[in-house]
Amino acid sequence: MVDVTIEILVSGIVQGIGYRPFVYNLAKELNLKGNVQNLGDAGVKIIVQGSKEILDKFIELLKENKPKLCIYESFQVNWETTSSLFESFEIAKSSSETKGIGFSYLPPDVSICDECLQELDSKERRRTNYPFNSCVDCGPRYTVIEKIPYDRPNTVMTDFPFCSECNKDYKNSDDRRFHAQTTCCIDCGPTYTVYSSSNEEIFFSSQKDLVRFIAKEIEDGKIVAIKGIGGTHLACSTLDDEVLIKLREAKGKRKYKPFAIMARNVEDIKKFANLNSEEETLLTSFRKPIILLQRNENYYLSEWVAPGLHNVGVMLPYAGIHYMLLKEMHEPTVVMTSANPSNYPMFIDNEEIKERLDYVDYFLLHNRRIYQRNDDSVLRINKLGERFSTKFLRRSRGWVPEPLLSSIDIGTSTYLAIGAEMHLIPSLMKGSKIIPTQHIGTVTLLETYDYMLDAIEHILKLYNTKIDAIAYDMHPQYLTSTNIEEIAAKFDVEEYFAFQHHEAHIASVALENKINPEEKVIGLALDGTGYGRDGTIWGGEIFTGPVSNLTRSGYLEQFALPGGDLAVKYPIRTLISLLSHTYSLDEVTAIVEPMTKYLPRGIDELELIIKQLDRGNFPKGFLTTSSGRFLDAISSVLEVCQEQTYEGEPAIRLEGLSLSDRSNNNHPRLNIPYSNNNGIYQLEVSKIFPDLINLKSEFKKSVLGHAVQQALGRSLAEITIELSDDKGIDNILISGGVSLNSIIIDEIVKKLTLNQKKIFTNEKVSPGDGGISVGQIYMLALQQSKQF
Amino acid sequence: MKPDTIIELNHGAGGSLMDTFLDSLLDIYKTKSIENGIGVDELDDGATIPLSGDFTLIVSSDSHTVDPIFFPGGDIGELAAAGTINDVTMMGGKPIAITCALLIEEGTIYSDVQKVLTSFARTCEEHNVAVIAGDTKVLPKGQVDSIYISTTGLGIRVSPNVISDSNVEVGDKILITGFPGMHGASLIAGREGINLKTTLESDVAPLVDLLLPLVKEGAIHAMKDPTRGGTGSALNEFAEKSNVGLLLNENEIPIHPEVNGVCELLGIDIFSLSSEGKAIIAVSAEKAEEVLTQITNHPLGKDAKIIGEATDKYRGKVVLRTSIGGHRLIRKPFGEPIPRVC
Repeated sequence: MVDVTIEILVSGIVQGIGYRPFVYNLAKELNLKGNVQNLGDAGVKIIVQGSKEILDKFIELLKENKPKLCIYESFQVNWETTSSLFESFEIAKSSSETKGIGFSYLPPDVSICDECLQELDSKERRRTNYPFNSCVDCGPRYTVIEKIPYDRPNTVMTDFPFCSECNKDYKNSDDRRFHAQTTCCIDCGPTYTVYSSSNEEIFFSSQKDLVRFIAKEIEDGKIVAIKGIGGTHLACSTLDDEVLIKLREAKGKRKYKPFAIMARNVEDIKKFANLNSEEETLLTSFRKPIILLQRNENYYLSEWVAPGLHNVGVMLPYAGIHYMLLKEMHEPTVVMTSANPSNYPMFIDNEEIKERLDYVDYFLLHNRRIYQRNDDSVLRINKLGERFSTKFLRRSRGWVPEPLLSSIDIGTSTYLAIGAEMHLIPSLMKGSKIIPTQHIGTVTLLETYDYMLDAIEHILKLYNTKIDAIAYDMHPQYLTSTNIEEIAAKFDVEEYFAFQHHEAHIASVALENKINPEEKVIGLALDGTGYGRDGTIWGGEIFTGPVSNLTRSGYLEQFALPGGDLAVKYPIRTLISLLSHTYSLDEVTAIVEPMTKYLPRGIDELELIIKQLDRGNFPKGFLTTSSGRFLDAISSVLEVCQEQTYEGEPAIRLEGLSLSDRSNNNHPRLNIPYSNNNGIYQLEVSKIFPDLINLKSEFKKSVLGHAVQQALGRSLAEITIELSDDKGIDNILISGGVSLNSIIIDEIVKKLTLNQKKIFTNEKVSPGDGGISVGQIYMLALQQSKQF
Repeated sequence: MKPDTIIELNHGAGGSLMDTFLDSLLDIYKTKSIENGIGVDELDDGATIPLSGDFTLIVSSDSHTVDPIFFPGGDIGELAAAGTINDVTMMGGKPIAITCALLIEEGTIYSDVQKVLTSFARTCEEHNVAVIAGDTKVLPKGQVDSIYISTTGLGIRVSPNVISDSNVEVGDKILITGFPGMHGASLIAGREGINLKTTLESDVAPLVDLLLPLVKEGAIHAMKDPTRGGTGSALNEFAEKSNVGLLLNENEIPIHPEVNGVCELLGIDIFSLSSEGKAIIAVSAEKAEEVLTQITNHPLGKDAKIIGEATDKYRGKVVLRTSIGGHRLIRKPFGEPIPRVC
């Protein structure tokens, strides 16, 4: 029998998931000779010698039995003629070689696997209660890799040389840790240390004792900073109002912002929240996101966990330390909110954590560096007609750096899209893949701006590429726009193009759903703020046309935002403005006077706003068609929320209240009329206020709020149907942060489905500003491809 | 700029749009300075002309318009005189003479002209500045609004060093001589009809008595009165022209409660509001405390503070260390602030 040699080149997720050990064991099993090697482009090369039949079998099994997290993007077999013979099969030293076949990427951070967890509970000295236990199947990846190929010296684990036992495990082809780069144990790996608020180390005899101490302190009402996988959490009791209020005050400007919690297991979650199958599947997946779950009637956690909302953000433990902590606690839930002041990147450096979080009682810190921050991902599962629809509020840990697939290919080019300014997630496009970075946050501070640049650089390194062109937002005052030249210079890019915010929202839906870019669509872009092509602020937009050339065919009636962003902070300002469309200014004053306590400067402020409305010459940037602002005004008139302490709060709490109380079947029917002038639709949102004010004494707020949100959805749907029938367009694309509102979206979907329209939404990236960069990059790709 | 660009108000608002506009205008001039003196293209507060011996003549030109011409705390006459005197002072010069060109709208009442010019004359007289030349035009209704005043100020440099926007050095402390934005805030408050519990007045004042004794020491490297474009523009001029970073502490910036009130009511950035009686000063670190003491001892500088320093980091930029601990850029104002919060 003549031996032949083949070279197999694979791409996809083939590093960081135990691929080489898998190949090694398979080759040994089949008694094949040769080697397997990680390449510098995150691909893998296999050289293997044997008889043709066995090699065929080998190839078949490589595909069939691939490791859990392995994804093949390409699988290329080259028959070789070689006279040299291999003596054995080996894992060869990694190469910086790039074969340029297919597209390879590393897996996201993977939550600790069941086998590693069992070891935490076992008697095995080196692994029992050891929080950093991991294997080829699990552990941090994105947050610990400095560069590719994925080998230990290229990760932060290089700080922890193997002990002799770990070295054995790493080299033992029968071990779960054979070639697992994050392998470590209590003797050689990172460990946790506890510090008091005065920065004194508290000594414990074991990691278990230390966790037990922290668990008790948390249950006694203390706040603990816990350094984890991609950042630092602040942990405290979910039951203790006092500590929750204390934490809110300490974090500043977080008056009502919901805190995420971590629960021991699914059974414990069911004690306070409803859980459908989709939610359970996602919660328990290796990605371990935070999911906003509907509270049930037995909800027993403090109201201060998520004030005024109908849901609560819950995740399951994803690191060893989380399991150990919840195991030691009596209460199976704990608050786990990220430790950073508003708009500031999470603290990850031990000294900074101790210095900046001066209100914390204890610090539970480990000595492994976090190379890249990675916030917890946040999702909610909405119904989209009859099916579940995954909605990202934040796509980060557990997903990054997985790519999205585009229907167009930009060949050898690489593009960068920056996004907007809030909830920023930049994206990279290479070939036909779009790779969003981790969540960066709101880029107004230089620290966050630098973090953004750092994350872009990291992802460029992981994908071994450099940027040819940049897409960014048209808003002239975003830091990401004013600094665009500086950003371009930093990445040595000459071309950069600005894209309209809401058009980018629609483009993100088109990209995800592979809508033919030439085909006409109707796009509903509903959000709070985005700079419009006419210099006013848009946010309730209906577009028609192909994605690369959208026309604005409808919008909310334009209204003023007295004081600009002040009106965002104090929604009553927007309310006053909207009331002035249907009432005389004297009447507006009379209606609002009892509510002037919600204006920081009371009656004087009201008088000033009335004067401004009377004069009416607002600058363009203070005029808006925003659906988010309209909902703010509704939230204000119903006295649900009078100050925005986190983004979208008035509208979110309006939805929360409306959904939490659905007992009353006696619904008033409210209506938002619309007009059509020369093919441009306008929703006359101001017309709903007189009805609403008249009904205020008769109905509960929750009922009225529900009716308004339904009315908005209904009118948007009716306009869409008219446009659709008129222009013969059946594909309806919906995006923007307001589209997360389940009352509005339910109403739209119900109506459109009845009329046989096809609805597309975001399910792979956020419909909010976190998804903007994906839309921008798609528009850039479309624009560039037209030029050729 | 393109030939068909329509000039907007923002082209003259002291922000980044104006920079582009002025750059294109400066290209039109050929000879822009005398010998090694500061010329028009440096866009400083004025020009310098080296004379025989150690003498340096300082020349500063300005046009003054304000609506209304009589405002709380002053009028356009005082504003024109003080503004010109201050520009000469900012160059380290002792103001000696001024010219005065009046553009008057048909229909203006004589007593208004008289009042304005009386203020102008009084301000000059009090600071030993001679009014040495002038021009008076009356224009048809609508061609000007009430009264405009165009001035040129002359002075002799008394500082041993060249005081210029481009001379800020890394390590210098940055001082402000009092609450920023009072002039702008009082005018806007008047215009908007804001009902303030007490009266906020313009801070218009000549700073020559406050600052001239200080410049003789040579410790002051740069000075600027943050008029049009506000403190934000003035600080950015320092950073850009001197190619240093300016790192300011939000907690150290003196904030007048009523100016703050106007900002909070209208959603205006305090750094965009103009002052007419304040200076921003870059002074060598070792002399900073001494200079501060001298300034605070003077009634016009009693609220002065050291607000930051010039740094090697952030060259060309002005960065504010916020009260919560992060850093943000202060830019030249670019027209009205546009909402950005979702």
